[in-house]
Amino acid sequence: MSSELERLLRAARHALPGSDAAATTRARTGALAQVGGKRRPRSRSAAALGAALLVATGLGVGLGALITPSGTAAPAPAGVGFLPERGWSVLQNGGDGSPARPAAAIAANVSLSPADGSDGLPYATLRALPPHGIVMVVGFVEREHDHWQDNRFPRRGLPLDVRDAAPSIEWGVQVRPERPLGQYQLLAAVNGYNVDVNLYFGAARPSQRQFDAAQLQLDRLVVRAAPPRAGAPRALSLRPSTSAATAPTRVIDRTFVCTVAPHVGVRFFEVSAVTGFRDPDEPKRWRWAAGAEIEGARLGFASSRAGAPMERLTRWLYVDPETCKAASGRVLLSPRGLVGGAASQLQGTTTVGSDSYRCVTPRRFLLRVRAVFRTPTALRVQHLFAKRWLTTSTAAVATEVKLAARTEAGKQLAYTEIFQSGKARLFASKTCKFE
Amino acid sequence: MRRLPDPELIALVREGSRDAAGVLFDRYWEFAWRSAYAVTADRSLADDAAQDAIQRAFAALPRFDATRPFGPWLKRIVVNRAIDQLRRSSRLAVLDETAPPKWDLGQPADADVRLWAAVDAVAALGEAKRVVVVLHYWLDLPLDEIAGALGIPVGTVASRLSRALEELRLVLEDERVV
Repeated sequence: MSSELERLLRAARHALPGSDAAATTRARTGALAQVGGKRRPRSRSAAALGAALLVATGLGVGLGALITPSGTAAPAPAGVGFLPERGWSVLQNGGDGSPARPAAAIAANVSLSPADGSDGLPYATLRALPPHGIVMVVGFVEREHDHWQDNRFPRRGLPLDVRDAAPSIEWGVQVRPERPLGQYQLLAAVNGYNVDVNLYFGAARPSQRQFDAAQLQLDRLVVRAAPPRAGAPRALSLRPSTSAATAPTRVIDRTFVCTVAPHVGVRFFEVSAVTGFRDPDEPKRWRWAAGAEIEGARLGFASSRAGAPMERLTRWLYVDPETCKAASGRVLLSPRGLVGGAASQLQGTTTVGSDSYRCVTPRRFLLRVRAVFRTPTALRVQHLFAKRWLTTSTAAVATEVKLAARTEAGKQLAYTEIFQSGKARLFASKTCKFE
Repeated sequence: MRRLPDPELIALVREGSRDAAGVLFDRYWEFAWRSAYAVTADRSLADDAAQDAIQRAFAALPRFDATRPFGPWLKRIVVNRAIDQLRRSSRLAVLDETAPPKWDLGQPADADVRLWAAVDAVAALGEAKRVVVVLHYWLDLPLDEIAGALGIPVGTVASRLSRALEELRLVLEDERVV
């Protein structure tokens, strides 16, 4: 029995899907940029930050000296890094804090290994860290380049409080498994920067005295306000709506920014879903396919079906091009943080499904539509039902559709998914009202 | 160039050949992404982890010991990055009502139903057990390597795996899959 179970488990990996084209293209560009001396610095992890680290060890070294590069190092940011506490050593790199060139700072109450000069995480120092040793690795990246990332960093004031750091051993990479380090992380949005503080203690369970010592150095973290950056993408940049129409493909994955008109003074949308329903007298025949929809008081933003062709159903995906324009921005296709579950089989009267949530929204929200079709198709503008719609060809049957909505500030509002098997799930923020 | 073995491709990449780098990327990207997706059960996290890992690997090629196989080395980087992504997202989700993770599988052919039932059962495990199962059965990592990646003792890995198998056996027997 056990071997059969294990064989099944090993075989189950083959059920996983592959990556999508956009992610592949991004990764390919990033990987090839590492070749031939055209390296592109990574942006998301303190561990990845920093080449050309400048060392400033000792007492009383001023911030100006710490962040002023020398030699061939790149220009330093205007005021992020550590002032050294007595007995501590600090390192700063020459990053400017942009996503392309993040700034990094390291502080340690032990001597930093010379071997750590050209890599982000000071592995050699950490591997040899004595029980009383403390190392802090901090990354700084300007906010408002990536709203999804920004949401991970709660706003905090200086000085940061070491008590806000969370243990990060359980799912983290233990740098020294044979003698585990105490590893903690503290995320903070400070003065326009996302600040990622990673603390490493020589003891797996640091003493209060060690936390106090770490706090003294953390008190000397400096994060001056990020200067406004010419051309920086402070807000979501929109592409022309015509970019939504593309060459035929089996997977359509588009993000839109949708404008919500007020209805009796309130802006909202309703997200609904219905599970597919087979004809009781003819079980092979679908009475209706699984459906999902996000609609406003007057207009639908997006509507979809997934499943076998039925009478009266000529298209499987509609997006309203008048209220929703093509946009960039990351919208998670996930129910994480939302409430809900499987949708019922009851058809609604005004919406696709009788299960629906009403979500109050700002004037605009981001909508992501991801649909998989049996045959290649494309979203194109069609005149249907006395208005224009972005829709697919009549022959293209969707096998699965996912709709997700979030605010431009990053709050996830709703997620729904439907499949040709008839399965439908519906989730919404706890602030949405179940109708 | 597409037929060149890995060591020769890596040698060309070290000399600055972007064509060779492209071939190497094409050869391993899907493997890297699926590995990251297996661990994270989240497309966005997998995108980030796999991209970051393969960039790190390519950046480190000049220091890579070409006598060692490239695939397992890349897999270790991917696993570490994926676990790191999962750790970060898990911590953030502490206050949320988190739904169980779910791999985005699309629709099964009839022949796949058993596999998909197994995938669903793995997804329903608690995160600690799920990750251990995925690392061992899907990514073929030995227990000591899993222990190193997660920063937990080997005995803990073994006990989690044992409990996970017992849960999976009960669920899949109940569904008459095994």
